[in-house]
Amino acid sequence: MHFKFQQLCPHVFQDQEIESEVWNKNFEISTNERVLVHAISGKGKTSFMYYLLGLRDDYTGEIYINNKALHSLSVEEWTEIRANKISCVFQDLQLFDKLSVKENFEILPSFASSYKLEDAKEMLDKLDIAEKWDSRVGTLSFGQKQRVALIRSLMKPFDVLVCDEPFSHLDSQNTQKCIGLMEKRLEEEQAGLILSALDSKQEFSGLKTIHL
Amino acid sequence: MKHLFFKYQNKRQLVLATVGTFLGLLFLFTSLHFLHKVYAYGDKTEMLSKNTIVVQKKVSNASIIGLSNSEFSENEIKDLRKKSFVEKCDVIRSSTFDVLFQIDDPLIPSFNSDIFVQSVKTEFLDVKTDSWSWKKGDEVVPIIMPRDFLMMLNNFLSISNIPQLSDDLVLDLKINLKIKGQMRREWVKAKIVGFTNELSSILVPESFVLWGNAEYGKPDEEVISQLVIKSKDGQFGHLEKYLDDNNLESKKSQMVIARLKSALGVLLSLISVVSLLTVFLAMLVLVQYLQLILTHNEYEIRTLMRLGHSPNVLIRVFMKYFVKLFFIILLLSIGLFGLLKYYLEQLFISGGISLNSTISYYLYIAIILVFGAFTFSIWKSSKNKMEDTFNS
Repeated sequence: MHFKFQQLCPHVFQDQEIESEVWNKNFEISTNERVLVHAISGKGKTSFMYYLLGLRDDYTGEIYINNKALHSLSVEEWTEIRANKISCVFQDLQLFDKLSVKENFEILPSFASSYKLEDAKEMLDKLDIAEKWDSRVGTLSFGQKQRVALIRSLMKPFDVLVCDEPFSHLDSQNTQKCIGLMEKRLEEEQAGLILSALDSKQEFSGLKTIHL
Repeated sequence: MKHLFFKYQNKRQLVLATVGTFLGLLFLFTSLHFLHKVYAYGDKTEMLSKNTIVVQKKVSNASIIGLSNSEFSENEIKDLRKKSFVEKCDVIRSSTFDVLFQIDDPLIPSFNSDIFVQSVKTEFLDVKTDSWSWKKGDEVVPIIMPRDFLMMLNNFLSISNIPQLSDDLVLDLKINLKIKGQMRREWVKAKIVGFTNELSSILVPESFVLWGNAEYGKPDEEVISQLVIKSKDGQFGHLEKYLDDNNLESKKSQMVIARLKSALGVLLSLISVVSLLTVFLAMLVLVQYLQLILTHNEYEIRTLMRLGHSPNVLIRVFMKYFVKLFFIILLLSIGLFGLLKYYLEQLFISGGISLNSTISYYLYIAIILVFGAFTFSIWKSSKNKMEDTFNS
């Protein structure tokens, strides 16, 4: 999946002079490319992620996915992209607190090929929270929820994995385990990665950093 | 997904919405069915036909000694026709020639009586017949008898130890009318073609009265002393007041029936309006509950679409749940309607009203329309919500 950005700028930054490799610039993220969008708080990391997913349009300029302008995509095209092309870990996780961990996986539109519900449990086990399988998500800590959200994104098919500060509440040991699972899935899907983080030192292989 | 959307909702609101819809549908079905049946019964028994009354000026001592006029002038008739509560108004034309009525039939003994005949326009007749016309040269004159006259005749026959006459028999009787003028007389054949409950005169076609008056009548006696008036639906009260204010009168029994018919008409119209409101309310209650569920589930709907669920799939989840719920409520209300129908019919029978007990086709139409309208409302509300939430 190929992204092209042309003079993209959030409305809130329009009257400001900003130093950025993203805002008001022309650049591209190629298929399979791994990109770290790095910035301190308040620079628009989450906005950037939401723009990519077509969830906000408070910007000037244009974003193209596979050479098609984002705003021209139909509901059906967006549904297909969100179901099979882009998988996402949202900063606020967007889990269903009322449902159990298991049900949060079951509710996905589809699993990646060759993946079954048991694979999610196996991944939970690798991240040391297998015992939470039947617990309601609302009862988990934020760090535990973050791991569930990450596994949910890995269970889907995708061409690009978009993660908005996915390790913000994880210790370095759990972060490493998560990166291991992500690397495996990126390899399996031959997919790209767009990762946003406060910290520029992320231990992914081949990660290109863009400063917001 | 059903689990996610509906399991954690307030059950009390669901119960209230279900009960509201159930009662609304029950009232709708009951009122529609009985409205239709009562209207059909009213039509059959002339309970709901338009009010037709015959009016004349009140007879007073002054009119007896000739100080006031019992005749209607052209202006008075025109004035009445212009009134908003009058649908139709016309004169009752009376014969100014003498008529002898004679039953000439082997079935019953000979019966003779002097009568006088009148005519009204066809639109005022409460008798449906194809034979209501006469032109010069026609062999038979059609006659419509007041039902009271038949009862009087039967009384006479009974006293004379002669079998009484049924309606069908009377319609087959051979009758002669002897028309007498000052110098001439003529026999014409006649045939009774129906009975009127509203007019107390022996009626013949207007063309026959006009012909008879011209050939045998006394032109100076031709006066208009009676009018026939058909009032508009639900406006009989205005006509009654007009009659009072203008010193006009009508037969008392006719007035009572007219008042009753008017009251029944207003009551049935009122129930029709309430039924229509009920349909609206019954559906509104459940659609409002859907809106509530959609609003409560806004986060869930948005997140599911962000995960790649199609809006159409989500619409189907809501449609399936609510259409199934509505269908169950519909079945329950139809079931209870069946019971209620039975008890209400017994009530009507006790009150002397025997209604046709087959289920009104209005009910089938209502079920299809209500189900269709409800399904559409659910689809539209869900679709709007999905569209609003999709890119938010």
